[in-house]
Amino acid sequence: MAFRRGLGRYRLTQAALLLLWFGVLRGIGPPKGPPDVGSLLASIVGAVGAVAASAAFGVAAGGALAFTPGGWRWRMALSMSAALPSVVVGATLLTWLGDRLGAVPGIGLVTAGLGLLCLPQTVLLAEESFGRRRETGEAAQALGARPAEAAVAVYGFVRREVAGILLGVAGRALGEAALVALLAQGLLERGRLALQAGTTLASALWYLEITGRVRDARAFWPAVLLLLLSLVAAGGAAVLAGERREGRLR
Amino acid sequence: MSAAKINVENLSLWYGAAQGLKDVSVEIEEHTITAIIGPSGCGKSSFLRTLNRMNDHVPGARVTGRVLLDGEDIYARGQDPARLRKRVGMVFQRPNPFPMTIYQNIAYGPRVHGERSEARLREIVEQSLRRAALWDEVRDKLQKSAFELSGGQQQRLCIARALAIEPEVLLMDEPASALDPVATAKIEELTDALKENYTLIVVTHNMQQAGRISDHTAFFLSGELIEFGPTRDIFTRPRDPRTEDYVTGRFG
Repeated sequence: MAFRRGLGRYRLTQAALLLLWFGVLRGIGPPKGPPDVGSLLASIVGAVGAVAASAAFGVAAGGALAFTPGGWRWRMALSMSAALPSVVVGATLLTWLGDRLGAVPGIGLVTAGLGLLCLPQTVLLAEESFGRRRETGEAAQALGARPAEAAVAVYGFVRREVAGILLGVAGRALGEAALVALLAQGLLERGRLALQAGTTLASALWYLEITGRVRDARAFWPAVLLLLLSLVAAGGAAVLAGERREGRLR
Repeated sequence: MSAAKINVENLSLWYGAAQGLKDVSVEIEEHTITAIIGPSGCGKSSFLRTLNRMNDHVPGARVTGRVLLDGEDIYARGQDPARLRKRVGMVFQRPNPFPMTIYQNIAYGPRVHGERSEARLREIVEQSLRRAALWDEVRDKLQKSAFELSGGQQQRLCIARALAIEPEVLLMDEPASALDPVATAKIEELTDALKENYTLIVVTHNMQQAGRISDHTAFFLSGELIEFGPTRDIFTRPRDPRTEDYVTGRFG
């Protein structure tokens, strides 16, 4: 039950992020000509996948940090090693498939695939996270705390989970910004799908590194700031891409 | 003979239609360690949780009978579970530090119970950590996250956190089951030292541990208290053949 309630809370966050990503992807659009229904659908699927992938990596990193009593670097590495190989293999396969289908649907497929591949890991960690939060709340009540007071004791977990997700999305957005900027500058006409997969992995490693350095709930506000900065970067790159498409930028 | 701290009279517990405890009666003496043993699902933890009303949080849980703490029925109308839990502390199976600093973990309980003086809180933190034999290991890192401690240290932190509210009784639900042998030995030494000031009730799956640390042992089976008595008697000359079968490893 707690797990379902928790998922409900995440759904709201995901819906907001989905809208944001949809806007960014619509800003990019296909390289030439108006968007067709296929690309639009692929963009939506891609946006869902991107959010899921970001949240998955974020929860994985945040969860691994939150629940490792000692030797946390090793535990985090072990935890992530369960997800990364499947992501690498999946990204390679989907990139190949995407190349056969065309650029934009391909990007959609890659991101959606990454998101799906990360889901089992996310579910496991989320379940662990909610379970640990419940146990900690119970421990607080065993000390004589009333429910509202017990909520204060678990607040750090919530902040850490949210920080993990925000860092994940921020890393993802930075990766996207770099990709879109390169496309907008005309530096990449081919191999963009491989780069897409590459930036996803790079951003995953990037925020693993960042979260690895931040051990507690103090990660929250830096994560919010990073997210805002990276979204501004992604937005700017999308505008550049739009101007290039319309021929105003050479 | 010590005075009775807790009197349990005809206690039964239901989770919905399923009965978890059946007509349990037992008397627990002050400043002793009582071990609760029995196979998985026999009601050990359920019994422990009736002593500080933690089962109140389980949907559908219902209790009949009486639990007297210093002669006062903890299930009587008007009893406040939060105040009861200040007198009856609890340590859980898995170390569960709060996502805070070591200092804040210990100070949490006293703050909840109204302590505002930072000077007094510092005293309580040091005293509790010393009682839990953790002070020397953490004195220089009180402002570090509790998650930086090892599993064994985290469990002693949880014990210190429970001691910080100055309970009279300490309930421990398999406190060493998630720990390595070295950390387990430290917890066992600690329980022996704590006996002077507290009444301890410890659930354990480990027969040797029960034999080493406890003065009295209660054997549960299928929600029934089969036998209760001095630990030495339970392990060397049990009265009930089911107890003998369990302690000699014939089942469970």
